[in-house]
Amino acid sequence: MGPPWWIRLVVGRRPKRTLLRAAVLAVILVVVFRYVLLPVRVQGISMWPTYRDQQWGLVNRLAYVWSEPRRGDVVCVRFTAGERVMLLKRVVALPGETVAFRNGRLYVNGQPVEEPYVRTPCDWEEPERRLNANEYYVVGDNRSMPQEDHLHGITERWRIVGKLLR
Amino acid sequence: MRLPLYWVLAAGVLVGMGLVWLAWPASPERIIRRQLTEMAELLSFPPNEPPLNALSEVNQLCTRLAPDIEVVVDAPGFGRRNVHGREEIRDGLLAYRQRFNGVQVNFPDIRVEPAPDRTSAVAYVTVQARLPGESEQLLQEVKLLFRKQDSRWLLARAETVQPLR
Repeated sequence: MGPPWWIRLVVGRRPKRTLLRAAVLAVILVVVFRYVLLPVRVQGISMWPTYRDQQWGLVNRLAYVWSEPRRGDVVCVRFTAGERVMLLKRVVALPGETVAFRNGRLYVNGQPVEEPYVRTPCDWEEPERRLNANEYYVVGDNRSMPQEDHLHGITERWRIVGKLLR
Repeated sequence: MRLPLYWVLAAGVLVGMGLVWLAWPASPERIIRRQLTEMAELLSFPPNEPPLNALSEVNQLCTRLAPDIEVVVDAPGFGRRNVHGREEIRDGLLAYRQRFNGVQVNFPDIRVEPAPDRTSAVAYVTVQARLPGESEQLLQEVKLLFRKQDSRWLLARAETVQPLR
């Protein structure tokens, strides 16, 4: 008499092969979700309405291996200490460009930028700043927050971990 | 039932490795990480905390600080502020506990870089603080300098770091 039906259901007819498959699958999942697609949970409202508080997303860590961040990309910005907690922001200005906020409007290289993802009016004022090589200007989509409560500004390229997938 | 000999040997090797791990002198990095975890627990406190408890925890925290500690805070919405010496920090910590009715502090990311001479170390820490009942959390990166004094690692300097400027 063979093993009970439920054991056959769980481990199959060849338990050793099933174990090997499970181990390979576990390794693939660990590699994918650690080094390729990083699951993240949004905390806070600085990217509202594009991303809501407690919403889950996946960060593509390979997005900038062969290319550089582009304007409009939503990226994860890491702290020096590690990557368990990161900032979720949108790239609005690229290396070498100038960036400013005048009367709540974003200006890049002196020209106003259309931002369809910003749904709320704001009154932010920020003097013009020039980005050096390897520097990006990142900001959240929720401009209804007071400027001093909204973490935004210039970040170095090495801090950008990857691009958020919708 | 008899266990095969190699199982017994494997279990013995594992237990031996565990004992060696426990008996091995902890590296500066391990000590500082443990100390930082304890500091996060001491910085956290529940709502309606009894004053005696607050005093005790602040005193415990101060034993981990160098007497000439310097703290430099430069954060948006807070301005730049320098605090010198353990006593001034103690007063500041007591005021912090009176100002808020409970705070949960975590250090989710810690990076420790011991100096080659092993008498000092720099630690980068992501500080996550949450007030009870609030969904928004405070995130701040800090750079800490630890100095080894009388075989103890004491916090000698703390300064805020801005990932975005």
